[in-house]
Amino acid sequence: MNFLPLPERFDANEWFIVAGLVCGYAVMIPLRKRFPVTVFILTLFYGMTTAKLMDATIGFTSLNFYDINDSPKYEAMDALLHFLYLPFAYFFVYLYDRWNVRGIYVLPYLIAYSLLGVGLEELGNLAKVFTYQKWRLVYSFTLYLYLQSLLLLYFKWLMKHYRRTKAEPDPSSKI
Amino acid sequence: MVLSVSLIVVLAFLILLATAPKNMHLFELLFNGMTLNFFHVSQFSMFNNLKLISVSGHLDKLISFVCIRYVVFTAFVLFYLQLYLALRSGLAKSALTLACVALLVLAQYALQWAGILYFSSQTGLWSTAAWLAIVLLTLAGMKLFRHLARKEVKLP
Repeated sequence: MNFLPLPERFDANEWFIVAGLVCGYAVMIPLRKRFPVTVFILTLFYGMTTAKLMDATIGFTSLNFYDINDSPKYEAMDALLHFLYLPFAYFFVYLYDRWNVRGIYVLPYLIAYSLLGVGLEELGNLAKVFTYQKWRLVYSFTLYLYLQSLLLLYFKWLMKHYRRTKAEPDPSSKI
Repeated sequence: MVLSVSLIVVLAFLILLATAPKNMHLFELLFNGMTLNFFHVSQFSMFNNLKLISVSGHLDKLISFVCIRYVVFTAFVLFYLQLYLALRSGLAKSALTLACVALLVLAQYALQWAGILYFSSQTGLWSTAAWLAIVLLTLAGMKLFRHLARKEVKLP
């Protein structure tokens, strides 16, 4: 019995995860300095935590809405898959801030990003990363819409709190 | 019955967490909570693979477990970490860590008694080792994040 099974064959689902991680992090790392380090870390953790909690709650339990990768068990590649959600969450707040999305434009932005999430998930389905049991792709759209709205509120809350408690620059470091 | 009791406990912990005085920055509370859940969920899934532990298939007990896992355990460890920061002596900190682990293991036994979790016979020892590892990893994460956060925000 294995506590964290490795893939028996390295096929499409594993390559999808590896390619996603390489591309995601290659783009994210150069863009990381837009926000303070603490806000950056907490935004990344939001992506990973929500994905992990969702999978642990409705994927791996007896509810079994879907299987991830090759079996219903928690595998090494499942653990890696959760790291794919970090750049996905970061790009969402990065583009929101970069494009200065405000007012009524927030809604189309949320819908467009949720559709992007659904598109990427469909690619994952084709690569057999996800095998749906009771789950439907349309549920994912609703879920992304909610989680990204929450991410936006969370990000704004973090930035507000950051500005309120920002440390004074050390005068000795100016020399 | 199990769900009602669980939700009352969850609510009590939420109220305690919201109202108790804090000696941590909001960012630290969020970071520590998420780190704990990351380690706990990973460890639990691995134990599930080894058939050392499993969750009840009844929906009410499953919901109870989800609420307890994400709210009660998180709030409990956040209280522990805040108390840890308030203590000065290394001995007191070690004793507090052991007490926290013991209470978390007892909580898991309480969940078994309520029929929410099922353990295999060797789980007691595994559970103690796992909670100790989770608490120590969360503690290490807290120290690392505190080091980073100190440069950017005013910590309490």
